[in-house]
Amino acid sequence: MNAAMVTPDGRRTARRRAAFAGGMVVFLALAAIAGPILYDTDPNALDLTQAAAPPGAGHPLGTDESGRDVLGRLLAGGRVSLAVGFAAVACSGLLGLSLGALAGLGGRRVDTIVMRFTDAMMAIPALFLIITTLALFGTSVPGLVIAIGGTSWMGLARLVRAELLSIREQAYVEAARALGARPARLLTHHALPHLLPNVLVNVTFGVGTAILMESALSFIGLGIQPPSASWGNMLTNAQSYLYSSPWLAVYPGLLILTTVVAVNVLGDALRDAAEPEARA
Amino acid sequence: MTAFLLRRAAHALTVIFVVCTATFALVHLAPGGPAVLADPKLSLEEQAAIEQRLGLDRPVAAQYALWMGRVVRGDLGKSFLYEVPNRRAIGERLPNTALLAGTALLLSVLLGVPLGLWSAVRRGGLVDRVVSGLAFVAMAVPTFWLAIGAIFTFAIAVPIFPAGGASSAGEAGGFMDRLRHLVMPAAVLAAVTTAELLRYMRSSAQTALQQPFVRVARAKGLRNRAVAWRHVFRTALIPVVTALGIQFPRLVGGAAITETVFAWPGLGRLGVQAALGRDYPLVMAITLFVSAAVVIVNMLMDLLYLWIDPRIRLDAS
Repeated sequence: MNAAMVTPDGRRTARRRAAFAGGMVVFLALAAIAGPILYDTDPNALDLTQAAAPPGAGHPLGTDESGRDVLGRLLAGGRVSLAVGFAAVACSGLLGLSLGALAGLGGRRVDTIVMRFTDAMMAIPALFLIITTLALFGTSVPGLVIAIGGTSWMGLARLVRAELLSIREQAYVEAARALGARPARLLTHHALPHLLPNVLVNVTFGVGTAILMESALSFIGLGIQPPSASWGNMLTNAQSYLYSSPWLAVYPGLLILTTVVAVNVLGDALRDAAEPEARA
Repeated sequence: MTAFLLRRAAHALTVIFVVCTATFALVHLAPGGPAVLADPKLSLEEQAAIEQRLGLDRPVAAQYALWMGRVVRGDLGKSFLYEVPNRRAIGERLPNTALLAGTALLLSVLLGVPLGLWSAVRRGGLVDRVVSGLAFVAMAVPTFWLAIGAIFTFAIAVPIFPAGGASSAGEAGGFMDRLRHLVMPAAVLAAVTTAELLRYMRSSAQTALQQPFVRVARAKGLRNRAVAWRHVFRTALIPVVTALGIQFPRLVGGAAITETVFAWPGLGRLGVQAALGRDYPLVMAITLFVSAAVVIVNMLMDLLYLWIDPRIRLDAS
């Protein structure tokens, strides 16, 4: 390891990056929450006389092929994308934490069963499992959240299990146990605080992955259903009008990219702040 | 070595078993239950007859055994939409997907591994900074948006490649024609995997560079390039092969998206269309097949370990 990386300076730049990326994520979330209130247009209102209008008065970013206001749809779509992203991560976080804890604390037999199941889930292409689920259960926002969350918990489960197994051997846990601490107290007072930074990093990256998955599913028609806007399904229409109105394909994709980059930078910075020596 | 291979084979079987069970469970949990698998175009009597023939009136455990039995024999059911056995529908599209995913995988390895090694050796240099930045963006860009961008740039603005399909009408089978159709989807699909492999290779090569044997090689007076390729490369490759195993299912999922955008007649696009058309038997058959294929490819990739990591071969003797 390079000595220069462990200096307080490395930590400070990591903090600065975390603050910048965090600010970006907060800004995007605020725009998604407050945007549709401040910018009061019906994102689903059709106006064929104004179809595919370039940016101008009344429509700051123009209109799509059916005359719907692009800015209004981007804001409405952002709400959906961020909500599904965060909800899916909450779902996978819960699954990952509980299955990881089960494997790490449940003894050898339970550990083997849970980990074989985890390995199997990792080997299955998630997209196919998700489209099977959505085809059988129908497409709905909760269904989407469960399908994405239910296929993305494996990394976290492995992480939690590995951490728990190593924490169990630490001297301070042994000391606490010798002092008569019960398993529940060991978990909440000793294991969880130790786990938290790594879980936070993992979960942050998960948000980006979940947003990408939601947009891809909406793009192929199995996610958010029209007329409701999402960044993914706005691009489905944009592809059909690529010859006549290519600009329609720009903003939704750019917003997905910006959001995921912001989330990933935040994740990177959090990781550096949590363990500066692991900086790549 | 035999123990290593047996362990991998057992692992592969477990995965396939979990996939089969999960698929079976999904069908039984779905609204309407397994009856959704009966063709909606049939009359009620015919449906009842089919349900009886399929054993849907029997206990769940018996149905499970029956289903497993059929899957083991390779019977994957029949598609509603295409009215052919799912096995045939899959067989027809498989070569296209294998071509696309195989090309993308090859591209990613050929680009990601050397660039990752270079970035690690010349850390902080121009190549490292440019390539790492690109990789960071590539991992955050939606595949389908990249595909749309590629279509706009190279099929509409500067029309040098066809916008979609696997071959031109009337020219099917010509090598150059197929190649021209393959370039854009393969490049788009390779982007994410290349970025991931690059990052893995960069960090594992960095670790390898800290090893004592590298210092010995340097002390012997070997030049940087020789140290990198002869000593660091192979050591650093081991975690990358593991990463490749993790990336492969994602690559196959990405192929479904890429195929959809480029109208590439492959397995992924077939699966997406089947899901949109509520052709349950076909979606499930494809999911089962693709998962099994991924597991088998992963197992073959494990053979790479034998070549790369001498410790495994040493264990055998």
